[in-house]
Amino acid sequence: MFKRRNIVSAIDIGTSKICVLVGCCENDEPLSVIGRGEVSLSGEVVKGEIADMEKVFEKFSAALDLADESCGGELNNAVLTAMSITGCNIGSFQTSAPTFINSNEGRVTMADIESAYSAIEQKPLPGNQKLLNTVDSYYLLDSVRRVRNPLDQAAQKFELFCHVIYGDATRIDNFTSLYRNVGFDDQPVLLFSGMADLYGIISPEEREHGVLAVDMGRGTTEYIAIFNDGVFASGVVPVGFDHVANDLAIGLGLPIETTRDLLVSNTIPQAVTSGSGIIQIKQGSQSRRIPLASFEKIIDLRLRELFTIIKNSFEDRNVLRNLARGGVITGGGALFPRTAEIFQQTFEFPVRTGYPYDVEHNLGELANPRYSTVWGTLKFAEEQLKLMLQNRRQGMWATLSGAVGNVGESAWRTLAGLKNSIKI
Amino acid sequence: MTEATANNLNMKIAVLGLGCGGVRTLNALAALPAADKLFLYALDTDGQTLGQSKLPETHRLMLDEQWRQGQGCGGDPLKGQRAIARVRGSLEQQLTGFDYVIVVGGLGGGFASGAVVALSGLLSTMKIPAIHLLTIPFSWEGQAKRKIADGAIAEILNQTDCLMVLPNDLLFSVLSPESPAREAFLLADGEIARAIIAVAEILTNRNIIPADYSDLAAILKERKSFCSIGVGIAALNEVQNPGELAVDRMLSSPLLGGVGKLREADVILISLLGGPELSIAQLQQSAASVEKCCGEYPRIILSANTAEEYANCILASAIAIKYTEKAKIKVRKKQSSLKEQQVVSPVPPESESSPEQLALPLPQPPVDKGIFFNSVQVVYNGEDLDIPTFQRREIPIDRGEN
Repeated sequence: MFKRRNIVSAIDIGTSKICVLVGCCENDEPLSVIGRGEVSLSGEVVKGEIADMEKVFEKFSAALDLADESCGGELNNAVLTAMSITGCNIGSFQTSAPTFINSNEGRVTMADIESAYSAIEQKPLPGNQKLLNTVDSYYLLDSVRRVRNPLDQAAQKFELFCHVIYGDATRIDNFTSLYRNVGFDDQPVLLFSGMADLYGIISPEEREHGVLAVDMGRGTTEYIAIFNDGVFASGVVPVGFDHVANDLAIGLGLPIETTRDLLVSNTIPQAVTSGSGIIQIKQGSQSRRIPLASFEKIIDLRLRELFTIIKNSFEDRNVLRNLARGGVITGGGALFPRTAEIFQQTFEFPVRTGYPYDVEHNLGELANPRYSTVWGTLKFAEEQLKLMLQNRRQGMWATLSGAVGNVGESAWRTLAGLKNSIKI
Repeated sequence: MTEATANNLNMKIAVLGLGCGGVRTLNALAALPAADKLFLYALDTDGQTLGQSKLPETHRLMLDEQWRQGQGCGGDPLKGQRAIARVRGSLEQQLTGFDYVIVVGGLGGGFASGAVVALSGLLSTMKIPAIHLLTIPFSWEGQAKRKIADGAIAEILNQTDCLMVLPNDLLFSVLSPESPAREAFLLADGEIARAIIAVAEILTNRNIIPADYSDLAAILKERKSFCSIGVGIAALNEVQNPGELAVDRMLSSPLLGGVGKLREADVILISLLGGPELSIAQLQQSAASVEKCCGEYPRIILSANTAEEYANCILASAIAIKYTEKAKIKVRKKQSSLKEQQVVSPVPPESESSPEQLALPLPQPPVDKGIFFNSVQVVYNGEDLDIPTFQRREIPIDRGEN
């Protein structure tokens, strides 16, 4: 019996790989991955930004072909495609929009919330910047009462406190143009890579009690702090695990391929466990005996600096004390054991390694921190699709659901029942 | 030297003496009865220095004998680092089970300056709380030694929570210039040994008003500070008020650098230790006499405890810390001048009064961005993040050998 399937796809163009996932979401069934295409990159994307458009285009096409092939040509049926965006151009700020309640009953209505969101979206951004995502942090009623959901609350005034993520318009267009150039007519829904972790890695309890998610990829490290289902801080540090490999290569006079292999393999942790103190590296016919302390020193200095930069970005925002669940480290860098240790030491809170969840029935080895962004992006696409379908069923708001985007899950929970919460 | 499980808290504390200075300090320490509960180990590559150690053979660790043939490191800290790297496994085994490790030594030479960096990394990996009590060379020993010492301090600061650097200049600030040199050095070793005892007592005795490693780490962590330590002991039958006498002796302790240091201090950790018969009045008198010497608004952390070993006497010790700046250390600027670097270590003010030397810029090592040569530059706090962190902080790296 033919059954219409809801297909979504996710694209992650990272520094180490381009990964495309095709997912199928049925009602009341967990998201299942039906297609996957992955192509490795070697310098075409640097620190999350496209350095060689032509080669990236070729590899992107190859990844799409692989994904399409693996799902039996279903990629073209995707109702919605989400694409993760990162890079050193990404910035964020906290802002607020005060709104006076005009309704006769003196209660917050959907229209009030909509108008607050409109006000936020109309706020000017720095030159040549483009709005990427807006996520609500919390609401303040009558300048006193802090609430998570203001709808139907009696008040004279409410303020929406919102986290706005933006990026350089031209650099973001580089990514979207790739999608168009391979032949798709529609626009992908853009999602800041750090936010993807909120969908695929962070549990609902962690989102509620407060957590700092750090995604350390090869070229960049994204972070996002969420508490009480509201995002309070986010950012990108254009330092990734390749910086660690590069530091080792420069400091120890080794080829970058060797240092990358050393970091990916278990050589350094094994040397620490065995207490050998020396790591022997073969270079041609010769072998070098390098003290383990040299590796540890270079790695620790870089990682400590990275986490200190992230920590310093929080100091003004008074956010850290709310993160009761500590930190979650994910991305390829999380596979190196010392990363989590230094994260924990720097922030002085418990840290766990984040693996994509709900991937048990899916293709390949998705349960790996390397795939956290693309998995999170696919989960985001699934949620967006569910909202679209819900709105379509409600009919009157269907016309508004042509594009999706900028509200956090918590806001959707709040708004979806009444009206389209999706910003165009 | 006897080995006994320490004190009422059953804590095991190891004291590692690095290099010539460390061995001398351990010799002085071994002579003190209070050191019986500590586990002392002398480490060096120099057979002659280790030969002077009064510790049992098993507690003298001759390192790198195969490579150095019992010779010293010749002022090269990298050799010191390698020496530790080669015995890392056995050191790890030896240190497993210790609750705290106190590392002592004189910076500026080859072995101690290198070994202390490798050791602090090892201890941090093993998650053993460590206290580094290190001396920096006299100002007249030359800038080369000072540079080595500063380099070691800059590296350890990243790896340890508890680093106390005592300038040698301070040691002799209270002695007359005519004092015999040998006597002065013996006195200095004795003072450092007593300082180790004082720190060990803070860690192990917590029965009345406790202060522990966390207190010490919290005030020292990632702070640029001057540090001085004073220790004084008085017998109950010596005078009518032994508490005050102990405090007086503490104040005249060469490592404290005089009462002025207490007055200038931002944080003072005072520890009073007496026998089970220690009375409230004695505690009160001792604390009051210390407080009289403190400045107007210092943060005072008081620890008062009793221990059987201190029956009939009172031990007063103070660790005075003066922050040189309120901000935490973030990253060292690549272009930092020699003067800026010296602030990292607790250099006595006297040594800063030689502007003609301080004005000399340090030779900058070549920097390399490797695979990021052609990428968009990322600058944070005036530093290019693509340049390896160790290069920006001018930390030497041992590349090993073929």
